[in-house]
Amino acid sequence: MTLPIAHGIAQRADLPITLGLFLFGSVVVLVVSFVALAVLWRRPLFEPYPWRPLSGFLGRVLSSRPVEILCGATGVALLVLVIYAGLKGQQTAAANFAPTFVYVIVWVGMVAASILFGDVFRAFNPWRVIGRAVALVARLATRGELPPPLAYPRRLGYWPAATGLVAFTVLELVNSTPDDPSTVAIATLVYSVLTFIGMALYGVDAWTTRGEAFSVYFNLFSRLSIFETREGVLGLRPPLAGLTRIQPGSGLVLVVAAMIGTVSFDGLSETGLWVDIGGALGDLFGSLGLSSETAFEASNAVGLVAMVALVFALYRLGIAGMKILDERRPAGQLADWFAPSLVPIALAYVGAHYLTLLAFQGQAITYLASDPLGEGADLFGTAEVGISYFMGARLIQWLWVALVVGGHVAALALAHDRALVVYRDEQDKVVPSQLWMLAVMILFTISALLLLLSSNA
Amino acid sequence: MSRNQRLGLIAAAVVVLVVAFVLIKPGEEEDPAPPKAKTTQPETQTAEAKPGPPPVPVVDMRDGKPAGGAKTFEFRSGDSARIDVRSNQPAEIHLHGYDIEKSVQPGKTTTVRFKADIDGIFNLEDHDSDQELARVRVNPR
Repeated sequence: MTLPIAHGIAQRADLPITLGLFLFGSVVVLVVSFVALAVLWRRPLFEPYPWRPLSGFLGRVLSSRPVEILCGATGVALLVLVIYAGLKGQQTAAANFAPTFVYVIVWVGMVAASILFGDVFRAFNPWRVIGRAVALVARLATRGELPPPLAYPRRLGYWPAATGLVAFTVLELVNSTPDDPSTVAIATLVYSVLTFIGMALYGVDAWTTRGEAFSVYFNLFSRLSIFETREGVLGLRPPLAGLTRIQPGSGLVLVVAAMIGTVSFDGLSETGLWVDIGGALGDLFGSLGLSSETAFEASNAVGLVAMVALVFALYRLGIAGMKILDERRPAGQLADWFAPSLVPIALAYVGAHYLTLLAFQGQAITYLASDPLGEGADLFGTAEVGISYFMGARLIQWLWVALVVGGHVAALALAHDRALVVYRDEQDKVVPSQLWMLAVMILFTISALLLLLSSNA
Repeated sequence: MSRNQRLGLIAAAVVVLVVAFVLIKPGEEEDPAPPKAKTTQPETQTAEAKPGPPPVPVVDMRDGKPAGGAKTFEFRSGDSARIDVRSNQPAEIHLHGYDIEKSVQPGKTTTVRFKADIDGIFNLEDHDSDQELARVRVNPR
């Protein structure tokens, strides 16, 4: 059985974890879950949480206007470079700046940066920078008579962001040539146009916080970090706590389900199970008259949507468990309130699945930056730098399991803390209301380990 | 639950995890088999009866494609690995990760040699068509 290595840009695919490591990881998850039930705290740890401004030179520099302008300009320059290199550069995925930059440095690297340093993407977000600059010019040109943007419709919620995330993963995981540089450039152009339309209608800030897929995605991860900006001032908060301050809104559950479901599909597509199911689906679509490439993409689309739907349904099952004890609150409201507690599980999925892509393939950006079009240039003298495979499979696999177990513990802690707030006047419901959710989280976590066991097995 | 009961529970959990670790031995490979090519090919089965070194994995290219499909060749980390490539037409081949490039000429056997010091799964490809010729799988020792 031979499976394609998922990305044309990746030089190396991961080995599966051993059965022993899978079993041990599962035992740890179960033991930790049961111990957690017994030692849980009685007062919310995270709501409200302390925040204090980062004083001193570093805090002032990072919050300063020149740094803001520098980051914004860098973001815009990189956006232009992705589009230019993708369209004009050599059309070989591994030799062009655009695919590695978008799929590895931004899509995966920004997750790591967000966890470590907070909402870094907001500072570099090229669409936000361009939107604000255009708004400033328009205000000056109309002498302040620019009509105000439309009020962002409540019902729209996080739906545009959820749709954008699924669309991006369709490009990455469904499409049969995701690493084609011109495909990356055209997708970037189309997404830029849609983002500017959203900003023009509803205003730059409203669209960035709720509608723009990458802003919402990286912002959710950044809430695990200890850095938070309030009114332009950089400050510190306890880790994880930032997740409790997400504005609930419709579509938030779908955003989180997409975060977990799409990575699950990426993992599933490397297993023998998907070779059988996807093959059968492809044959079915082929018999309906689709070409083999279209049939392959159609079966991927079915798999991707099915995994997102499965994650969504399992999460709603956990919410149904809360509804048994809680007749007052609508299920949809509970679902929005508890959705942020799944973000650490999403991190575990993304982290375990893309760790080596970032650690190894991410190094390719050093030589691609020197030769972004793949034409033999050497702008920074790094064109001949190679990739160092500095971690062995053993270390990588223990890191994966640590990420998965850590994500599980963080998710349990957040769900319990949220239950303490929601049921502050009904203390007897706090722990029992979370039992189904605990079971669902165990299922997500052990599934993550199962995917690591069976990928490329 | 009292403080002592909680501490006792945590201690019991640690004991369970240590026992599980000792019983399951998660750090060990379950398959200590010697390196082998998963699929043996007729070309490598020599007529000699005496036991020799394991057969060298061979990729036989026909019109730019691997005869019999792309096979997986397994090695152990640290092995001195060798793969022979033959083709009925000229080709440029590339082993990803190890980043080895070789020319293959019809009628000649090209040997790809490398020390298998990066573990993981790597493609051996035809450099011009990106056709997968074989897959190299290096397992940790």
